[in-house]
Amino acid sequence: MERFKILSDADLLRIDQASRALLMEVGVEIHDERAMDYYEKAGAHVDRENHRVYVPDYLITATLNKCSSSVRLYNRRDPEPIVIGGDDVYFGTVGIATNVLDINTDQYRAVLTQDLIDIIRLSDALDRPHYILVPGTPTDVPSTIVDLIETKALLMNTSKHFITEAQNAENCKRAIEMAAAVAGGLDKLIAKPFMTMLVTLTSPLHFRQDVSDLIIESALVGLPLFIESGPMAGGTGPATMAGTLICANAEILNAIVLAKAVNPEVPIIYASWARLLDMRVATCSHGGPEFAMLRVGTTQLAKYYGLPSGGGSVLGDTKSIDVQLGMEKMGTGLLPALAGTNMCTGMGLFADENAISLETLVIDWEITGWIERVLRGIKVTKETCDLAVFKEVGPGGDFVRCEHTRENYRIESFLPQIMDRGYLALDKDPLAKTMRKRAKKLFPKLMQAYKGPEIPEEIVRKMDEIIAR
Amino acid sequence: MNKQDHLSKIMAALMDQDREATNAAVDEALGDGVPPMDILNEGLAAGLQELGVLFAEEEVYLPELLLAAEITTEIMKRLQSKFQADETKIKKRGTVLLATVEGDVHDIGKSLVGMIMNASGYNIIDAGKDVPNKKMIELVKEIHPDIVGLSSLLSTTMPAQQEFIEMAKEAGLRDQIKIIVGGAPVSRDWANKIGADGYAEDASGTVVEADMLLGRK
Repeated sequence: MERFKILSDADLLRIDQASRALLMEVGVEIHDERAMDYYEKAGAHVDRENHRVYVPDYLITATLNKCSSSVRLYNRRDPEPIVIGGDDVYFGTVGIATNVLDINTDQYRAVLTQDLIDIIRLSDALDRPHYILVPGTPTDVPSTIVDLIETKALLMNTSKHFITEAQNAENCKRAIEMAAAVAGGLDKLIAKPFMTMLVTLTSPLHFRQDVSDLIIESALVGLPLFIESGPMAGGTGPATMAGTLICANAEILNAIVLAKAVNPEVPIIYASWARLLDMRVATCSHGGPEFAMLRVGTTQLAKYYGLPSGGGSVLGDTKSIDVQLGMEKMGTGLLPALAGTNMCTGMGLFADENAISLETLVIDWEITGWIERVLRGIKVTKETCDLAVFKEVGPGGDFVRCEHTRENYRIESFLPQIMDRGYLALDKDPLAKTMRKRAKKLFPKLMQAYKGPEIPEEIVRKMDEIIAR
Repeated sequence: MNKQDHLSKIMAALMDQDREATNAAVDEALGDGVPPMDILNEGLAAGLQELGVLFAEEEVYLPELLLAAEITTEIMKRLQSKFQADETKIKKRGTVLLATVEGDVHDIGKSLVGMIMNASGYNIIDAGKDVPNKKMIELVKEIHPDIVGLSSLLSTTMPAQQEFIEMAKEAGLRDQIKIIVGGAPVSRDWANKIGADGYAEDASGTVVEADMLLGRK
């Protein structure tokens, strides 16, 4: 299938040139001495007095030459990794959200550790998400260890590949120690990493302390880095789409330079949440056409550099599970997928990044199934164009009873699980079978048959000791 | 194996749409002296009924349901010829004349109803699609069905169902038949309004409705 594009080759070159010039002429603000040392050693100009790093053009090219066109994301259930690169599309959860729309009460409330566990387990049970970016931030634990609680919840409740966060160098080291304990040693974890570290950059052109800590600590051991930048057009980035792309691109390239300066072997995924500041309500929008277009743009940039791509996708601004949710999630899911964004990350999240719910995760599972069917395209082969079945049925007949139909319909069609396509029952409640109701019903059914990963007692104790340290 | 084991085995094989296994299980049951009527009603028809329920719950899909109906119909034919002269002769639950009304060519749903009813033990005369009511009246006179089933997928062809009922009254046939209407735009309200005897929203519902109208359940 032809890949969907929004930028021409000339557009990509112009954005690339501007991004490189931006890093040299304006530079990036950094306060971390360790990071400045790495930059300097790599060949960047470092102004320690003014806390600025300027990366010259040649260093970007040299850094890109150290990058792989694919990253292998391992897991703990299947010896084969998912290979991030090329035009293959995978879907993942996300959720820095601290609010959950309760599946039983339909009311918003704060995310608790149990909610995080529930949503991870549902993610583990469903065939999509393919990977799990920490899908919620619990509010019932001390903020100094919340990232470690999240990592433990992921280690305990999914055997899929996951992406986790760490708020400082110490917690990053502890997260790696916990994962190594589960893997049976740091060498085993690094050989087949089932954990990626999430790097969220601050726009415009500002490197936080925790970001340099996280990049350095993770790169030192060689864990994959999911590096994302999300300038808001008109807020933390220029109001033009092109300007926002330049901002995001420059920030990501700059971060890759540091990671590769620390360890040239560290696997890198180029990701972005470049988005829009909605001027009417002063919120950050993830559900509009611009968001989908910016994702196609950042994906094209990643491909231009030959890097695996990822970023925000399947998202919405709506505060309820409604028509807007369907529209936003499909739009921001389908366009990046058609562009070949390798890691479309957003399942479960809505309310402009502020809420998660079990229902939306199930709905997003259906939406991404719909999209995956589109990505499979129409198979035109000697077999699918064979006339035998026409001859069997003849004019005026029906195909529904043919063996040919039984052999092909499951392969050829997307069989929805929660979309309602039943007949119009005039005597019945038109809302009886809405997608929400069906999603709610599916959740307990799925979880009844679900069995999570089993972690030995002593490993759990070890993780608790690491957290309590 | 006792009778119930045989019937369960038949039911399970049919629900897997396994033609060979179903036939083998039926032969085994016959060999052990299970009456053919019980095989049909409590094995095959029961399995089909269960599949119909699963179909309504979207657990089983149309091509598999139709395959199970086809397997049942084949076995039924085989058993009928085998026991034709016998005292264990298979009694049909009733004769049903089916049609998609004039002006309407949508017949997948109607054919599905026919297959499921046939497999459930009804004798089915399928008059086809786009059938004029005049033709239907002639068929009623000729065949003497217990039930007439009229399907209509378009709201524009629904009035033909009402017209048939009027024509049946005029021809003095109304008391001799039960009329069941169905099709996507049709509702029980509509059925009541036009004076039909029954309404069903799907194939297994039609079996239930027919059984009720003929006083079988």
